[in-house]
This record gives sequence, structure tokens and C-alpha cells, in this order.
Amino acid sequence: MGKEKEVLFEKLEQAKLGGGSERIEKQHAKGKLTARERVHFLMDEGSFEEQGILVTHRTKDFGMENQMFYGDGVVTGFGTVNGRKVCVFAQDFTVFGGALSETHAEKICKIMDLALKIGVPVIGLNDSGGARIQEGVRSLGGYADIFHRNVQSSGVVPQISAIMGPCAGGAVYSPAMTDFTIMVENSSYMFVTGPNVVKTVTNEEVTAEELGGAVTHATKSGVTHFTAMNDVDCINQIKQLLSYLPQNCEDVTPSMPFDLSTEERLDLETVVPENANQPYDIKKVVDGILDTDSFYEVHKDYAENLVVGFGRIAGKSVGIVANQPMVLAGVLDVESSKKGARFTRFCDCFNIPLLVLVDVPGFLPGTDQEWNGIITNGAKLLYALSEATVPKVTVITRKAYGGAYDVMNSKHIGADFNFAWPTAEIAVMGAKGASEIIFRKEIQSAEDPEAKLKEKEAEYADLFANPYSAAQRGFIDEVIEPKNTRRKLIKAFSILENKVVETPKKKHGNIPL
Amino acid sequence: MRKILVANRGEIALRIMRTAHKMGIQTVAVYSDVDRHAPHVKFADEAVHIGPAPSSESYLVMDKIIQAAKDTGAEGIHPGYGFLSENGEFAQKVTNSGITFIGPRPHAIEVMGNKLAAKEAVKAYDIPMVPGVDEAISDVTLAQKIADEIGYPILIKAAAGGGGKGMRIVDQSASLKEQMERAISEAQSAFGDGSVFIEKYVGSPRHIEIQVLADTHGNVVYLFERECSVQRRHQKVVEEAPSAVLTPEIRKNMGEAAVRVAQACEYVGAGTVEFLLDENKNFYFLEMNTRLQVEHPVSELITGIDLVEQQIKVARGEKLSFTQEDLKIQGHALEIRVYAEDPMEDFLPSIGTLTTYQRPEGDGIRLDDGFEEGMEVPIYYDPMIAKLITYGASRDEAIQKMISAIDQYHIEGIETTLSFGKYVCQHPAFISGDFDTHFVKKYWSKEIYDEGLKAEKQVAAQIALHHYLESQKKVVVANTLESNWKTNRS
Amino acid sequence: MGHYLVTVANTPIEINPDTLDELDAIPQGKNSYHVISDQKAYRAKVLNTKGKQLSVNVNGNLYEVTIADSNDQMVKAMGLLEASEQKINDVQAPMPGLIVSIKVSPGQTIAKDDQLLVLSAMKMENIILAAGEGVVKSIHVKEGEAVDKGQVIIEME
Repeated sequence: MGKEKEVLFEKLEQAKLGGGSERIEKQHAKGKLTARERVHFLMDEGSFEEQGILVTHRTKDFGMENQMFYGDGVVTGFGTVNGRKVCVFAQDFTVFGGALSETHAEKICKIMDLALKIGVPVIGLNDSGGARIQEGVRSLGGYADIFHRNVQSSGVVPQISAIMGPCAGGAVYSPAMTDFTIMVENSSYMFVTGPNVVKTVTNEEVTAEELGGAVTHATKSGVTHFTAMNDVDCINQIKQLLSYLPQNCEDVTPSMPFDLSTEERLDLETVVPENANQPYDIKKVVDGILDTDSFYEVHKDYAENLVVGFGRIAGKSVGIVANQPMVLAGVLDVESSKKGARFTRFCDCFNIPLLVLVDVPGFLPGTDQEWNGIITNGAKLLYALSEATVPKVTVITRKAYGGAYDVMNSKHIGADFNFAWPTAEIAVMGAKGASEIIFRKEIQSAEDPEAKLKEKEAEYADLFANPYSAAQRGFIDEVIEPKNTRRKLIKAFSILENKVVETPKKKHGNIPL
Repeated sequence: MRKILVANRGEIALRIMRTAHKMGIQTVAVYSDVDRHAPHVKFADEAVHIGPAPSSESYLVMDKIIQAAKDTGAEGIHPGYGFLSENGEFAQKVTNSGITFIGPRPHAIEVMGNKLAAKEAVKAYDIPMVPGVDEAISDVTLAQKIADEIGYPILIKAAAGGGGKGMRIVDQSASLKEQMERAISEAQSAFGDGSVFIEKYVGSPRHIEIQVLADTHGNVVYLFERECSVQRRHQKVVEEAPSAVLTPEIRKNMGEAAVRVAQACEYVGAGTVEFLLDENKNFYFLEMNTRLQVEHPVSELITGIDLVEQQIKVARGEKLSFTQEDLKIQGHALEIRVYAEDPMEDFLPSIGTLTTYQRPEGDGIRLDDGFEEGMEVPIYYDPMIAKLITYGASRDEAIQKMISAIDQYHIEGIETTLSFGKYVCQHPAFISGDFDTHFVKKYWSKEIYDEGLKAEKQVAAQIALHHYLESQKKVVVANTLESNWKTNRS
Repeated sequence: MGHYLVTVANTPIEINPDTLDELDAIPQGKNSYHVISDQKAYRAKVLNTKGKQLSVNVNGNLYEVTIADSNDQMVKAMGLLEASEQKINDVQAPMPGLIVSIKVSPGQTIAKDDQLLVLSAMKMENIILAAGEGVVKSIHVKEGEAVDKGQVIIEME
């Protein structure tokens, strides 16, 4: 059996080298790891089982029959990450620049099919020049096979895409349809058409980095949810992200062991400034509520007037959606509505309870917003929060004005518990604006209109610039001291753990996309 | 005396209370904000809170301590070492309040507390002295002049207090000013008195001290010597009794000289007379410490006498129950001071939480400590966390016991001087007895230490890798979490 | 399989795993070994293991050991483990203690070995000297304040 084994060893040895040591060195010179190295660092040591290591392509055209590499440019398999089962594929740039062939796609599909059968997350590490042009339409078919599986898996198992090199053309749509995208700074880019085509069509001079680098997509387009400094940071962030997510839509989220104590957070008492017009950082409230250092922000640099992210309360995952008074006074606009809606729907898919923190003066006015469809886009957030059946809890820290009050997880759209701090102002609009309308005539005819306005403003503020009028109607379940917020939320989420909502039978709703 | 207050903290407070307890005397502890959980507080029958963490606001505030004694009805105050132990004013105030000060009379403290007055006092008693100058100085220019006259190297010492604080060696005229200023500042903050003393620095000296004990009836005995030459930053780290180099004759001469020093200041209680011993075994009087010394346990072990018990008896006015002729050296004792310091980093303080603290146990092992696992070492006080003392029939036996005791003593969370202690015990110079106060300077460096552990590190590396590679051979599978996936689907 | 870089208490030791076959180590119950190396006997015990980080007690001395395989070594060499570039010029507290006095002020140009501040820990005053030259940007502590080890005291430009 010695000789047969030698054949096997030789094949495996060759497969492990991917596109060869020269190309591996090139990859390293760019500060990038190879596919196998990335998988090595992602998975628990000794847990990874590679599948289809001996697969090769079937193309006979353009001399391809003479260029065969075991694995065909993608490493696929299963294993564990921090003890949890996952399926993974990692494109190997050292083989044909990671270009996607029919067989390459088949390998990815195979591992995605496995994930869907066994209910485990799929992690894709993308690093590919695009379609294997020599294969023509067979390669395109391969993409579509993956797209379809992305959609089939959507909402069933979490899908995470890391962009660790080029990702252009059709290839971008797989990451776009997965739940989360993370891009490595300075070594990855994503675009539908590259700088050369852009130049010919629109005459714009733009670099690949400017057009579709990590920073661009993290700040301008919101295409990526996270950015990483380098490959290792990227892999570590994937691990962190996974720690908040369940294995699939049927499972509960993993919880960390946690010993409860008084859970009072005195810091929260002083976050909201005395002056109602002064901004403050909502992340201080978030940190004050969550388990220490457990907040992992999603879309950190995009639509910063709304903060979304994962955290833990008493060891259990929650999704946070919070207005950020520090940016644009926390107003809702097109981008922040889309950001909030997408995140909300993810949490709802995977049974992650939602915590909504409200300090919102309303929607952003202006032609730019209206023409860009703030109506449809604002409706997305409203729809998503209204549709979500996971435990939903709201804390109003300060302003909850107008339609935005309704949108931000109000009692009326199905929130389970609505808390307000004593500093909350729940009204149709600010006291000044409201008195200007209600008492317009009275103010105009007054001897000193300014003094009259002040008087009326005070009158209105007295009546509505507080949480009590809403509390009287039961729109607010409880007005709480800030320091007790965490205590209240621990109890609220605990009682809601087995929440079940019966929804009308339907194929799927029609969110205003 | 039915109840005493211990005006101290840490291991010494605990050690004093243990003896008091043994004698049927009730104990009162005092504690600052950060010491509520300290063992001395838990051991005492009563405990009084005396203020915030800085000692200047708690353990050094005389009125608070005296008030605490009055409030609890304590009849005596034991000052321990450090803090107020050598403060004549405190001793006086305690006495004035009608409380017994367990220690010498204020006069003796004052005389011996001031090195110049001390030298003056013993002049008539035929005690050999180190060349120096007879005045306390705080003027830098004057210091420069005097130092230049005596010749370098010179030693600057705080006129009040000891323990290496405010002590500096100056090799050359150029650096005198800066060193002098630092010494004055340290002395000022540690003792509230910025004057310093300048003397000729004796090279290659051994630090040998004599324990004396005097009652109120004029009886003075000496309990032989302690060898304290292994020092870092002029502070002792390893002490032993008896010394490996004293002949019976020199021992007798030094002992008798120490008794004369005690007599010169009408000393009462337990005290220590420090001498320098040069290469030719000439000894010079350094100073007298008018308190219980940190390293007193080694004398206790070789004489079988509990010094704290004797202090209390003397304070009660009792006569010593033994004479010089009754005292014999039996066996050998060795002490290592376990400081929260990193020997690899120039003995810089290493403060933190004692995440692991396991005491060594066994015959001939004594551990005087004031910490427990999980406690934090506060930054406000002396960094000593324990004294590890071993006793054997011979010096070699005591050393071997020390090595195995150090191996059993597990402290994690901070760096300690234990590794240094083991190094000393294994060092040929120490084993042979041929060493002086420059031991650390001559023999200790991170590089030397690392070199000594090279083989051990190699083994550690190999075993770790072997263990790791073996563990990698096991099949790894994930625990299947409780899952609704299948149940909801079948 | 390449060489392993095993770091024992900050000392890096390179080991070829093949040479472990020659290691004369016999197991003594779980996690303990008796080792003979150069005719010398060692008692070794592996205490805590967390992947490639282990604590090993050899003859009574405890060593923290980190194992780096060829991948770990490569990633380190590529500089992928450096979290974020930290200003190396900032003055950090070498130990916990109390700030006795600060001898420089923002904007001041300092030379190597200039006195920056006096830090008192456990009653010892330590003068912190400048490690190099530079300009003080800001001072983060006040006199009398307690600092932790590693805390930035003076920020340099």
C-alpha cells in the first residue's frame, strides 16, 4: 500500500500549495494571507475539515487543460469557531487570481447546501478577480447558483462575507445578499464596474480604493458593515460578530455566563445634559445599559445619526437601535432609516431581541430628502420595527417628537415595554414650534409678541415636554430613573424570553423597498 | 495590662497581636480606608477606623491613635516598626495620656533618633565610630563643603528615621547637589524632618546588628547578632542569625558594646544596635534602632525568646527572667523579606492583586504575613507583603529549608523578591558566607539570573510544546448545543 | 512542519518539533513529567493551558509559555498583530504610584535625561527622565494624583 499512499500524499502536498510558493509569496508581499492561512486563523485549531481538496476545473479551452490546480481556487469545509460549528469557504487568490469557475462555484454551493441542511452559519472569505473568463457563461451560471443559495439561506442561517481582496462585477452580489459584510482596509475593493469602465463611460477619474475601497463603502455607500485593519483583525471581527448570533433562525442566541448583582448604573444619571438643546453621546447610554465592553457597533461610520449594533444584557445578545443626538441632533433621514431597517430585520430573522433608544426630533426636512424618498425610506424603518416579532423594548431618553415617535418602536407598533426617563419629552413637536402654531393669532396680536411666545411656550412645555401625558395614556409603561434602566431591561427581556406572536398567514410582507 | 492597641498594619500588627493573644491580652487594631479587609483588622478583638489611605492622614496621626486607645480603653500602645515607632513626641503624648507606650522612653528615642545626638551620647562609652561629621545639615552648599573635606564616596542619610529612605551614596562632587535635594525631599515627606547627615562611605562592609533587651530595673542583655548584609537600595532583603563570620570573641565584644550603647541612653525594651563590619572585622557603631526590627524573628528562633512578649513584660515593669549567661545560640535562622517588587526590573514596586497566594508549610518554616489571596497590595504603604523565615540545626539546613519553602510559596498577580531570595540561597558567595552589602551590585542582574535559568526554560519550552502537540492529536468536535433546528423541522 | 518559536518568560526559544523525540520525559500522572536533560533531573508540571498559552512549573519555578507555530510567526513578521500604532514617545508610568511633582509644562522642549516628573510609590521617590528629546504636548495628570502602571502621563508631539 506504500506506493498508493505516496500518490495520495503527493496530491495533498500539491493541493496545500495552492497556486504555488511564488504566488503565495506575492500574496504575503501585499500584506495578505492565503486562503488556507485565513481559514487556519479563523477556525479552532484542529477543527477544520476540508472538502473537495482534489477538485479541478473541466475547461479544455485556451490551454486551460494544462493549468490544473487542486482545489480550483477555493478552500471549502467545516469546523468550529470558538466551539461553534460553521461552514466556510475561502477563495484562493494564488490560483487564477481566485477567479470563479464552474467547479469553484460548485464547491461553494456544496458547502452552502451543507450549512442549510445542518443549520449552521456560512462564512465566505472573498478574494477573487471575478469570473473565470475562459469558461464563459458556465462561470456566470456558477455565480447565479451561489446567489440563489444566498437567498434561500437568507433568514435561515447567518451569512457573513469578508472581502479580503478584489470583489468586482457580478461577484459583489453574493456579499450584498448576505447578512454582514466586512472589508479589509487598503487591500480590498468592491464595485460593479471598475475604474477603467467608469473612465470610458462617465469620464470620471477614480482609483479602485476611492471607488470601492473599505473606507468608501463604510462611509459613503454603507455597502460594508465593518472594516478591518488587516486580515487578522478581519478574522477576529468575524469571530466577535459570530459570538452574538445564533446558529440558525430556530435557535436561541448563545449566552455568556453572567452573575447578576444590583445592576445599578449611576453613570446614566448624568448623561443627558440639563439643557435640552445640548447634544450628548448616546453611546454613553448604550455602554451604561449593556454588559461591560459588550457593544459591537454595526455601520459605525455610516449614517451616524442612528447607532445600531449588538451587545449583551446579562450575557444575552440584544440588537440596539438608537438615535444619536451628537449627529444631526439624532434626526431620521433616508440613510439612517435604511440602516436601521436592515439591522432590525436581521435581528428579527434570528431571534435577537431589540432595544430601541429614542432621542429624536423628527425627520430631516428638505428637497434632498423628499426627492430621495424619505417617505418610502422612512417607511422601511417603520415597517421593520412594526413587523418584528422578537422582544422589543423602548427607552425614551429625551425627545420623541412627531411621526418619529411612532416610528421609533412606539407602543402602538407593537413594542412590548416602553420606558421613559424623567427627561423625556413626548410631543408632536418642540414647545416653541407648537406654540407658534397653536397660538399664532394670540401671539401676533399681543403687545409684546416675543414675551407672549415665551409664555405660551412655557405653557405647552409644561403640558407636553415630559413623559407624563404619554404615561397617563399608557403609551409609556413606566417612567424610570436612568440608573435603574439596566435593572428594568434585564427583567423586561427576561420575561419576554418566550414571547410568541401569531401573525396573519401570508407568503411574505411587502416592505417598501 | 489587659488590652493593647497596635498602632500599625500588615504582618507586624498581626504578629504583635498573636503574642498578645497568647498572653491573654485583648487587642485593638487601627485601620485606614484601604485596610478594612486586612488580616490584622480581622484578627483583633476591636478595630478603630482612623482615616483615609495615605499614612499621613491615618497611621501617622498621633491624636487619632491615642483617641482610639482611649475610646477602647486600651492600656498600652504597641507601635510596631515604621510609622510612629521611633517618634519621641508620640511616645511622650501616649505616656501623657496615661497609656503605657510599649517601647523605650521618649528620651531614648529622641537621642537615638538623631544620629548626631546618638554619637554624642555614646562618646563616653568607648564605642568605635565611622569617620563623619557631627552636624545635621539641610544646606546644600554647606553639605558640598563638608563632603569635599571628608572625601568621596560619601553617604547621605536622613537625620531622622531609617529604612533606606532619604539615603543616597554620592560618588563625586558634581552629583552631590541633586542627590542631596532628593534625599532632603524624601526625608521631609517620610519623616517630616528634612535634615540629613553626611559620613564617609565604608567600602565592602557587612551590616551586622545586635539585638538588645533592657528592663526598667537596669538589666540589659544582648540576644546576639543578625547578619543583614544582603540589601537592595540600602534596604535589607535577606537576614540571618547568627552571622557566618563572627568569632565568639568578636560577638562578645560587639554584644557588650551594644549593651553600653543601650545604657548610654537608659534604654528600656527591645532595641537594635547596628554596626558596620569591615574586611578586617573592625566594627563601627552606626546607629541604634529604638524599636522592634523587621528581622527580629531570626533572633527569636535562635534564642527561643519571644521579643514581643518581652517588650510587653518590660512595659509592665517586670524584671527580665533571664541573664546574659542563660542565653545561648541554638541552630541557625534565615529570613527573606517578600517585597512586592520586581527583581528583574531593578526592584521596582510591582503592585496589583494577589490572584494566587499559597503559603508554604512545614517544620522549621515560619511565615509572618499580612495578606490573603485576592487582596490588593496598596500603593500607600511599604511594599513588604511577608517575611519568610526558616530554622535549622545548621546554616546549610536553614538555607535548604528556605529554598524548598520558596518553591512551595505561590504568589501570582504581582512580582516578588522570592525569586531573588532563592537566587541568594543558591549563590556560592552566600553559601560560603563571604559576601558584603554589595551583594546585589556584584552578583545580581537580570542577565545573570536569566542565564542561570536557561536550562530550566529550555525544559519548560520543550515540555510545553510536547504537551501542546500531544493535545493536538486528539479529535476535536463541537458540543452540539441544545437546538430547535431539528425538532422544529421533523 | 516548521520550527516552533516557544517563548518562556520573555525568552524566545526555537524548537524543531522533530527534536522532541529525543526529549527524555516520562509522564508522571496527568500533566506532570519527569525530565532528564544533560544528566540533570527536572520535575515539570503543565498547569493552565489555553490553546498555545501554557503555564509550566519546572523545579518549583513557574514559567508562562507561549507557543507560536510557523503561521503565528509569519503573521507576526507581517505586522498583522499590531493593534494600532501607539505613540511610543508618550511618557507612561513605569509603576503605579502618586505624582509628587511635574517638572515640565506643555510646549516645553526637552532633551534626553531631562527630569520630567517625580513619581512616588511606596514611599520611594523616583525621578522619571526623558528617554529622548521632544516637545511636550500635554500633561494628563496633576500633582498628587495616583496613576496606574502604563498610564500615559505626558503626551509628546
